[in-house]
Amino acid sequence: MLRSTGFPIWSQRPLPVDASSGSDGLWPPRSYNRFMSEVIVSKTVVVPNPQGLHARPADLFVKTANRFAASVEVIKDGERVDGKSILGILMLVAEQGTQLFIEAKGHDAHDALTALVELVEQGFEPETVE
Amino acid sequence: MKFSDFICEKAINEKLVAEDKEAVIEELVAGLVAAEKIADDDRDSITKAVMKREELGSTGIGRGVAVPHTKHPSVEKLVGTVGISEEGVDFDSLDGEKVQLFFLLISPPDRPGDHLRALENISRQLRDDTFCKFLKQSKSAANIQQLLEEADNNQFVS
Repeated sequence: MLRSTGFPIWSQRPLPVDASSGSDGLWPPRSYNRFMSEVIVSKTVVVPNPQGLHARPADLFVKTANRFAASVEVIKDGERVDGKSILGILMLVAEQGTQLFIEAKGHDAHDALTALVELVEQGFEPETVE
Repeated sequence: MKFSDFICEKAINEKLVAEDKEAVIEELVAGLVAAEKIADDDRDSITKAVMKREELGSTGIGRGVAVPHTKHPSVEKLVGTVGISEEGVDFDSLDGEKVQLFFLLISPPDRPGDHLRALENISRQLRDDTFCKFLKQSKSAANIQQLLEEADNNQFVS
């Protein structure tokens, strides 16, 4: 996580955000978009489903990421892959309990990150029989 | 995980003749039956399970590659095979392209980690264009086996 993103260090830290501002808890807050065309937001999520991030969840992840203009990268144990590439996601071997750091960059980065975090946290929809 | 840990050499099929999704899966499963990796009695049930998985979303992951797979209680460890179709098969791939290169994986239901590591190995190696291209152009099972061994020895991934 030492890689420079071109932003001052404070912008990368999830500082406490005033809950009354209606924020989604991401830093920098949405209002930051007014000043910057390129926003970088990130969040760490834990893979909850027993099967881990196998082909179908990876497909869902990539499809969700591709709905947005923002670039998406996923980092696990220092390995950084393109969140819009299924080959990239499958390389992570994200088993149940794995921590993934998702970083979105672009004008709709907030929406992209929110959608992706929600997808992971709800276990990529209920597991069906495979 | 390496290719040699799950790809059954005897089941490799370098000349798939099937022209549609179900037929190509049957052909790949037949390879594993012939190599005695799965019992003949389980052939239909495995083929059906793989097709059922495809209905949930194609495993054609792009670049002319598909990884049809299923879990099946009849196998004790992960088994897989490789198939090449020169013409390519319409597989409803994510990128809409025809698929020339198939990796069939059958894994025991209680080993999700092995399945993930096999997928990881396949996707990591396939990022190398040379490997991907050579594999699709392979004309013999021995040739494919040799490429897989070279990949296992990290000759493609820096």
